Amino acid sequence: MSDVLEYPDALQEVRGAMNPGRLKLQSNLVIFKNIKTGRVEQFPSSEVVKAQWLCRARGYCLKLRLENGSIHRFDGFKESDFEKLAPFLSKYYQKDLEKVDLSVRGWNYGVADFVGNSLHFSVHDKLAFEIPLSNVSHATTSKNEVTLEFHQNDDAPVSLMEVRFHIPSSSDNPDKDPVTE
Amino acid sequence: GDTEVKAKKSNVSYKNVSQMPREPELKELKIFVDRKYETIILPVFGVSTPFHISMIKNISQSVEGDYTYLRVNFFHPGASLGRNEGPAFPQPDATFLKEITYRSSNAKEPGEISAPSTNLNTAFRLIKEVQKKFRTREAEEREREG
Repeated sequence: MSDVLEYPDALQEVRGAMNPGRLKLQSNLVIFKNIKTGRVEQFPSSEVVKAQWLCRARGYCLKLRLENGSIHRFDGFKESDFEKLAPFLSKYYQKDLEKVDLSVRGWNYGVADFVGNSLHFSVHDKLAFEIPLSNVSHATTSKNEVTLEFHQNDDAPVSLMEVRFHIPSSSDNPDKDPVTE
Repeated sequence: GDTEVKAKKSNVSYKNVSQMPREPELKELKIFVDRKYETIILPVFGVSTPFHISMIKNISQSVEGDYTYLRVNFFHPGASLGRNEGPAFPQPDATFLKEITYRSSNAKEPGEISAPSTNLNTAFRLIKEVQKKFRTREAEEREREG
């Protein structure tokens, strides 16, 4: 097995828009170069604590959570890419590539919790959507309600502006002021 | 007796992922209204997230300057729902997504066939249409049950 995997047609979702880039997985390093901006983002593979594989809007997504809580998502994979990625991650990063099924029930109620730097909203024990907290520009709470406003991206065809959650008063409000910018 | 509160049975959009549509709108991170499954699929930071039409209370659209806004309000406990209006919530202790707002530009970029906000306009029209159909059918079922 080669100790490098390269994906020249990878994608990265940034606030509602897909940015093309080159993803390179080395035995010791993960490198993503944004083709439009030239920006390079990299981190040592030893920092990866969780690796997940999920079907998103643009094909499959490799989701890597680092020990500092930051989550990196790389989109645009084919389903068959799993066959190469899983053994690679297992051999070099000592991580199982965990398959995650998203909820397709269509309910607007579930459980919200914080995983790394993201808010995960799960319906019927399955992830329905997630909100990277770095996208949040402003958060407010009032009685039973949490409002999140988002940074806008003019490259996004439709841009998510704001979400509001209703939190029942019986629960010990875990959403209270989650955002640190 | 009359005091009995019947919990509403939840409608489900899709039984499994294979039923999800594969329309270009999903890949383009736009809103898609699936009329067959009476579901609206919203792009939430890279995930196509379905919401069944029965979850949606109302929608509103506005044009301000260069942008069109689409707001979707969902049913949730504690809202000004009349006492006899609608059944109880199946999971009142859950966290509810109560509102989500999207923004889209009205300006057509060179090379584009239509302005990005066309997607929100289409979604608005189709959600209204699916909602009307769904509510008419529900009312008919209630009538039949007496």
